[in-house]
Order: sequence, then structure tokens, then C-alpha cells
Amino acid sequence: MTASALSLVTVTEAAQAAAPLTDAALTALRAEGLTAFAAHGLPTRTHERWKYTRVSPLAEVSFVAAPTGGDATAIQTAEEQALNVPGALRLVLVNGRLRPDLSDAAALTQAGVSIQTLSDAIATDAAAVKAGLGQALALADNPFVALNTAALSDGLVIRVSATPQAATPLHLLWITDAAAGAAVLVQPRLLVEIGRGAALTLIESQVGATGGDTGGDSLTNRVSDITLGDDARLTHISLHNDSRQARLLTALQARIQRGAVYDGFALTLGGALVRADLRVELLGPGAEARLNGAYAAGTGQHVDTTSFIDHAAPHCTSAQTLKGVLDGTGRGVFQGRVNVQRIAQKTDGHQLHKALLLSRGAEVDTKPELTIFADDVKCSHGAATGELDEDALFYLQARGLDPDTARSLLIEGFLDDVVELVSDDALRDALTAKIHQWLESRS
Amino acid sequence: MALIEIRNLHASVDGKDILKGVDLVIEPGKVHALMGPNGTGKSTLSNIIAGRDGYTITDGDILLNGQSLLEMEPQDRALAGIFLSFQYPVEIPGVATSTFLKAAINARRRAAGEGEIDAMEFLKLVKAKAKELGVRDDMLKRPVNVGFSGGEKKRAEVLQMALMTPRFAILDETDSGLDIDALKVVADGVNALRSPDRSFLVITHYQRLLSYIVPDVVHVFAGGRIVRTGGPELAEELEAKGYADYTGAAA
Repeated sequence: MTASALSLVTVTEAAQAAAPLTDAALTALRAEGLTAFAAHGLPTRTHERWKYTRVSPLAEVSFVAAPTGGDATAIQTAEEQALNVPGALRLVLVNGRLRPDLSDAAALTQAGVSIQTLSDAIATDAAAVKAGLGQALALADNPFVALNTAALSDGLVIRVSATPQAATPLHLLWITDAAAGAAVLVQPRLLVEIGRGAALTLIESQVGATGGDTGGDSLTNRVSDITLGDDARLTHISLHNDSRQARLLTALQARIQRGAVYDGFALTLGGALVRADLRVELLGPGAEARLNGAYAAGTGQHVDTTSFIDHAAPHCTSAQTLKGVLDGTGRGVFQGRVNVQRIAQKTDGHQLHKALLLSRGAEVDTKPELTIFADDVKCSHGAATGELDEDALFYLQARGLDPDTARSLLIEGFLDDVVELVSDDALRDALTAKIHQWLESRS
Repeated sequence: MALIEIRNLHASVDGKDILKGVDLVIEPGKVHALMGPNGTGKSTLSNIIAGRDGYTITDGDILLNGQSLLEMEPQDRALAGIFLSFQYPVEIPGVATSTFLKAAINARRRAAGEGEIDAMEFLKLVKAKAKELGVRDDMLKRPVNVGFSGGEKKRAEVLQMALMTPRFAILDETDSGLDIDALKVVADGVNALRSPDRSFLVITHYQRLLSYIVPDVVHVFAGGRIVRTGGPELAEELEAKGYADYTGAAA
């Protein structure tokens, strides 16, 4: 491997030693993860999936294990950055570890919803945890999933079974508490299993304890494994709004069975580097996935969404609409691949990326890809990049709005337009409120 | 004093002369109609008055109450009382009509040194005007002009006009794409806004609209300038005879 990624390995090894696992199979899996990462090192631009996102600067950073963190001011600051969804039960995770003292007690006692820390879940039934860890992202091809797997210990397991009453939405507050001067490495794992016919609304806010512009260097390498049983439904809303220095790498592996619906929306506003690696497998007839989102990147920000949607059964639907606003020297990346297997007749798959460039220094790279092996499908993909509509600007000015206000309104409208795809009013309001807050803060 | 005075206005786009000496004086409280064949510069004139980019004024001036508009930004012209009802109202995805109306009202209030409009007051004001114009409540929630029919777009324009209370309003082919019922609603809305200190310039190709919005003065526009001026009877003459007599002037 490249000696340069040494710090990441050292800290991960220390994490292994600090939290040994009793289960032999999982201990072996951890070792496998570390070996895979060590063998390949950090991905370079020659890796197709990392072509537009450079992670080699990580080699220059000296990482340390994340402290416990999370004092009262930190929590308050973090909350201001998070989504505000009234009524959702909140679970607070500081540097990847659940903090029951800061969480809603009711979240842990809901009928039909079992929530355990990953280490508790391993102690209870290691085999069940191992079964839930997605195998879709092969460790050798996914260095950061390998590294996360090597560190396996922090995180959460959420299991939902069908009950007469719908579960109350859960809100995971992932708080990075990085003191200035130290670069923390946080590697939590999230397992979500929605049983046959069950449903959950899961909200996630990734935020910094020190707010927008301050805070130390950090790398959060979070992996989520999601399993939806027959006719299950997961509404999954994510906000990435960490502080200016934060780096966030997320990988999501979702397995969706017959008739189940994964309805995802991700909003990215804060962080130096935000990379979302999405891998969704539609495994049974009638399965459906929506991977919509919006992002904004200004100077010093790089936002990358790389997705792979695999239609492995007939009559499945996938839809992905992503909109991004790039300003200053901000950079956006969208690599989307939809694969339709030979068996997957009557597939309905659509993908669209739209970017709004507000400055000459901004850049966006898009690569939508369709590979189709079935002959009776309805698929489309598209990408559009443009500037603010001059006609719309004039229209607003002709109604008395000054150019700055007019631009802000158009930018907000550009992003809000895709938030319309979220059907729940409260969730949509929470997302548009964040977009509004972001616009206010930049003017 | 004239509310609007256009003096010998010459303008070009990409080196091509479009307006070739427009002279027009509109007194307060008057409705003027500007009629003429397509492609002769009627919309260019309305865009230039509203302050759109992309035109070069090579000669002349436009005065509102004796003050030149030419150096003013579009928003400042709007705040000074100019209103353009667009021939093709722009669709703005993601921006709710009510959000847009509120922003426009608040821009005016700020310019007048007043605070932002109270949410309840805003709703009351907009809903009352919207009802008069047959603009349904759900249209206010929808994004600006997105998915509106031709008639709905024009009604929304007149609603904006009613809320902006301009001193000089230009209706650029407001009748295009309207059926007779929508035309009546729009005309009623405009007529309700007629007042001794407010003037209108109604740009149209057909006499039809002028049966509902009866003008004080009718101008024939051809070849980049006004070639004939008369009373309302001129509109009827044009309806009967067409513009054939004037197309020569365009050459």
C-alpha cells in the first residue's frame, strides 16, 4: 500500500484494539477489511468511481481517535445546523457513539422498533449483525467501506417490524465534535432492517459541534446497510451540513425486496468534502427506489454523488433527480449508473442531474450511464448545466426586486423545486428551511 | 404635465435599428392603444421602457413625470411606478407565486421606508384581489406561472398589476391566447384599475380587446415608429381594413 495512508490504518488498528469483538466471524471480517484497505490504499483518480474526487490529501493528515465530546454548547450549536422536524424522536450520536443521555428516551422504547448500539447488537446476536452487513460493496473495490469494516464497533442497529400503529419518525443527529488542532477519524456503521410490511421515516443530520466556519479537521467515514423486506417502506431524509473543514464519506448499500419502497432524499450544504456512494439493489418485482437530492457547493467545497442502481428483478422502478448549485470555486460531481439485468423486464428507470453555475470558477462533472440487458424497459437519463435564467431575473426585477434578492429567490427556487419530490409536508418544510438558512448565511 | 413622454426614441439590437424615432405623450388617467403588424418593434418598445438589457438606445429619451428613465435599473423603474404585463410571463420553477408576490410587495414597502408586510395582512390583501380576478387559491401556492394556462398567466399578470399599483402600466399583447371569457375577466381587472392618475399603454394586434378596454387614443405602429394617431374609431378601421396600408412604412 501507499505508506501515506498510514495514519488511517494506525488509528483504525487502535480502534480495533480498544474495542475487541468476542465473535470470531466478525473479528475475521474486521481483519479482512484492514487487509483490503492496506493492500489497496487510498483510491486514486485511476479508479473509475473516484475519477473526479481526489482523496490523496487525506494521506497528509495525522488522524487521531475521536474523543467522547459533546458538551452542552456543542450540542446546542449542532442542533442549529440540523434539520428541525417537530415530532421526530431524536437519537444523538457524538463522534459515532450513541449518547442516550442526549437522546429522546421514547426513541428506544417504541413498539415494533428495536434500537441498539452496534456493539450491543453484536453482543446479543453477532450472526444477525453479520447477515445485515451489506456484501454488495466488495471490500477490495471500496477502500473506505473496507476501512469502516475494519473499525467495526461504533454505530447503531435499527430494526423495525410491522405494527398496527406506524412508528414515529426517528432523527439521527450525527455530531462531529472535533477540537481545533486535531483531525479526528469517525467511522460509524448504521444497520437498518425494515421487516415485511413495516415502515419507517428515518431522518439523519450530519452536523458539526462548532458550527459552520470553525472546527478542526475531521473525516467521517460512515457506512449504512439497509435491508427492506417485502412491501416494506423507508422514507430516508439526510442532511449533510457539517462544518467548513469536515470531510464526509458515506456509503449506502440498500437491498430492496418485492414491493418495497426506498424513498431517499439527501440535502448537502456544509462540509469541505462530501461524497455519497449509493448502491441500491432492486431484488423483487415491484421494488422501488428514489434517490433524489439537492446540494450547494461554494469555494472550498466538493460534493460528489456516485450511485449504482441495479435492477435485478422485473417491474421495478428507480428515479433519481439531483440538483446542485455551484458558486465560487465549488465543485460538483455526479456519476450515476443504472444497470438493468436481463431478467428485469418492464423496468422504469430515470435519472437526471441539473446544475446551476453561479461563477466562472465553479465546476461540475456529470457522468450518467445506462447499461441495459433487458429489451422491454423504459429508461432515461439526462444532465443539464446552466446559469441563472436571464429572463426570470428580468421578470423579477421588473416587479421591483433588486438583483441580489432576485438571484437568491431563483437559487432557492432551483433547489426547492427538487425538494417538492418529498411528499411529506413536515419533511419538505424542514428541508426548505435549511436551504433558506443557507442562502441567508451566504448573503 | 405628461405622465409619460417618449421623445424621438431610436434603438437597435445587434446593430439593427428597431425603433426609428418614437414620439409618444401620455397624459395621466389616459389609456393609449398601440396597434400594428407583428415584428415592427412594439414589444421592443415595451421592453425598453421596462429596462430590459440588450438594446442600444441610439437617440431620444423616455421621461416619467419629466424624469429620464434611461439610466435607471429595471427594479428602480418598477419602484418608480412602471409596470410591464409580459406578453410571455416567465415560468419560475420552485418559487411559489405567493412568495414571489410577497417579495415584490416588500420591495415596494422597503423603498417607501416601511417595514415588511405582516403575514396576515398579506394573505388578506392577495386573496381579496385574487378573488376579483378569478385567480384560485391553489394558483398562489403553485410556482410562478408553472403549469398555468394562457388565461391563468394573464390573470396572474393583472393580479400583480393590482398589487403593485403602478402609475404607468404597459399591457403587451395581454389578449394573445385568451378566450372570450378570460378576456373579459382580464379587461374588467384592468378597467377596475383605471384612475385619474394612472395611465396605460395597451399593445395589441386586434381590435377585440379594445372593445372591453376602451382607449382614449389609438396609435398605429409600423416600421419602428408611430405612423398614425386617432381616436377609438381608428381601431375599428384597422379591424376592417387590416394593416396593409401601413406595411409599406416598414420598408
